[in-house]
Amino acid sequence: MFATANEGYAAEHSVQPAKHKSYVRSAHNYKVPDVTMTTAHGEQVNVATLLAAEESAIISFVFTSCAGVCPMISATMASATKGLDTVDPDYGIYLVSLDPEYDTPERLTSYAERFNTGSKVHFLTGDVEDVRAFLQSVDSVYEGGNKMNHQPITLMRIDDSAEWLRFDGMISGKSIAEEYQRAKSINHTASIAIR
Amino acid sequence: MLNLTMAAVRFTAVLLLMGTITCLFSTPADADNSGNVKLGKRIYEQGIGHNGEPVTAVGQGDIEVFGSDFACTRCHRRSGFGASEGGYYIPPITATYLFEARRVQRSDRYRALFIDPQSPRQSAYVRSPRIRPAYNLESLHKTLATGVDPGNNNFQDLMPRYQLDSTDMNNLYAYLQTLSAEISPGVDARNIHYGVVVGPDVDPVRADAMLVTMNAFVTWMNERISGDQRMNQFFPYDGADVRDWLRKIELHVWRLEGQQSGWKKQLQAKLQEQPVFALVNGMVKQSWAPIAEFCNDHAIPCILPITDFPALADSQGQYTVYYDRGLYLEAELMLDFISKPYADKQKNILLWHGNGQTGKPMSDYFRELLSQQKQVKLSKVQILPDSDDLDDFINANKKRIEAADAIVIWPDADAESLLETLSRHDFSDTMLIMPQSVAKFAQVLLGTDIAGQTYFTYPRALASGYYPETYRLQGWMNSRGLEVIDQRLHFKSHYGLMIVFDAMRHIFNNFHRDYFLELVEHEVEGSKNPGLYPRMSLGPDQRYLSKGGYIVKAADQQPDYIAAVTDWIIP
Repeated sequence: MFATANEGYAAEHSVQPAKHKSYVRSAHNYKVPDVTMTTAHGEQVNVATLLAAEESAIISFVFTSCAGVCPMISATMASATKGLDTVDPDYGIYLVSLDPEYDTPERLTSYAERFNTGSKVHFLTGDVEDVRAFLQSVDSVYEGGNKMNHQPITLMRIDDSAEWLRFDGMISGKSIAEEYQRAKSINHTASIAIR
Repeated sequence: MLNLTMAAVRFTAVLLLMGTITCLFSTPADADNSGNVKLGKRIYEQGIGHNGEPVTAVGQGDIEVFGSDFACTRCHRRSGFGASEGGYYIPPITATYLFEARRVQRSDRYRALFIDPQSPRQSAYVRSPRIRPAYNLESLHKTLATGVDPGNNNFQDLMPRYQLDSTDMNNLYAYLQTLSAEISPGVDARNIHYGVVVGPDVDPVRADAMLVTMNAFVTWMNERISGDQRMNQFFPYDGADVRDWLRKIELHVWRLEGQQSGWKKQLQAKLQEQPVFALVNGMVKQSWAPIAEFCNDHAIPCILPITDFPALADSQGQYTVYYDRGLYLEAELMLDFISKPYADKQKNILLWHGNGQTGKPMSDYFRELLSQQKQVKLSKVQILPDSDDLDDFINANKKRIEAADAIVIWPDADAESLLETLSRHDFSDTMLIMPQSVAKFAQVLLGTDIAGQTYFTYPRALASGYYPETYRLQGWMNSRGLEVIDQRLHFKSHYGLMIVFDAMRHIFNNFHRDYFLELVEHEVEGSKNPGLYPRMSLGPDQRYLSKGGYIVKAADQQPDYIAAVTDWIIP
């Protein structure tokens, strides 16, 4: 038995997305640690080598049982690929698990399917100490030793020689593509100037 | 006539007064809303609308999101009390909060204000009063779509904007009016009641050790709570305004009798006699499954039972939180260890097991694991004879032993005698692997021929690890004159109650079982580890504190005469 709309009460309200910018950009010289991690397919990979092989890399941190920001980060990354592909399809997105003991490759595979993340988004899990080393290397260790206290951050590196751009806060898929476009054009201009 | 007139006037006045009272205690939409609570719950928990389709929303400005990962429960949790996560304060949306004007009461945000580490954004958010009137059906519908509440406050960017039709909105509204609307049973004006389950055939010495430790903890904690309760409303005292919500702990030992099939009925009778808010610790020799089912049936949290046989089930909707997956985890560690070296080569194994309460079910479980893979092939399953006949048994199986890559052994008891007998025999180069319960006698193997080929699973912290909390707990027990039977058992008995107490410190007067379970999930990772496991953590809907283990072997001059031969393995 379903209720009908109440008298005097507008039955539908159109959705109005948030419009304000919700992240802060900064640039850093991070050195990604030389650690081995595991992909969602169970393959062992050296993180530094893996990222060096990518023309451009985007990184964020999530865990599959997360009750807050991680589903939104994962959905954002999946949605960002369309805009990123338009700018330059030579990139890889890496989502590193903050709860590697729980986030087994099987769980990450299932999580990737849930969010339909596609072929450009890769998940990494591994040893707790290696994840901690990764977080330390990008100045993102969460407080109190509790993963629930992690902050939403996105890192972007345009080529192997460039510094890492860091976006603190929730960044939209559209903004990721815009930042990628912006960084690419600045990088392109700089390379022309050097030549 | 006059009397009749006066009576009519009085009757009319009473009716008017009743009408006024009804108006005062109703939200504007109550009279109209006839939403379906069950379908509203489905929207809340699964994000599925009345037509069976996922409810859609827009997140982060431009992403269409839908389904269970963006259902209300994902962030606001099953209790509706929200959380602090990822640098965001996710506010409560229980009936009490939504359908009353926003109050400025620090207990509502105490945790977010004073305990959780905060980003500048979160700090500013939780300190802003964000006053708004009570929601009604229309204002809630509008707010969910626009992200602006009736007090003209903008929602955080994390909150998706939901596209709900009026039927779904009616249903959701009806459910939200019931969400954590009443506190859970097991709490009275002065006390909070917890049950402790003790099975019929547990070792009475171990059961007593658990209960003595728990009673010492409760005595200690109740003294503190009594002192705090006396300071209630004494304004110079920190937190005086919330002391009134402290409750002294009262434990009720529920001793079960007879067969497992009768346990649920016994538990129901005990619950009826004395409602409890949660179960804590507890000990049975067989599977915890009947107790876990009882807890699920009654939505009673069960915190950290001491069991080798947890109920293995999907974590969603489960009310029992375990230390680990018990012997099932050890079986998986064994299989992982046997199959990993030379992974391309198929291994042949023998499975020897006792026929009692441990050996038989673990043999069955191990065979089930084997049936799900192809790397390890089972050559023969054999029941271990009594210790007197073990030598003959081994001699009679010499050829099988030589042909096998490994022998998996699940004994029932008398592990020391088993190791002594095994050490007298030649096992060629066949690996022997046994559970942790046998590893405590590893010293027996030192200097024997089989020491180098005998392995044990070890799903706990190594004694060589450094855990400062160990020393504090040892001091705590010594100062209370507790006789130490098994330090790990005492530590677990203490830790279970400590986590319960930590969760209750933040619950204030919101005595809701679902909220309590969510607080337990949050507290574990930041808790003091007394060396039970290398790491202890939970997350939303996770049900096992520790997820892996080591493989160890006998080693001289090492604590407990064992040394790890692997890193921590997550099978």
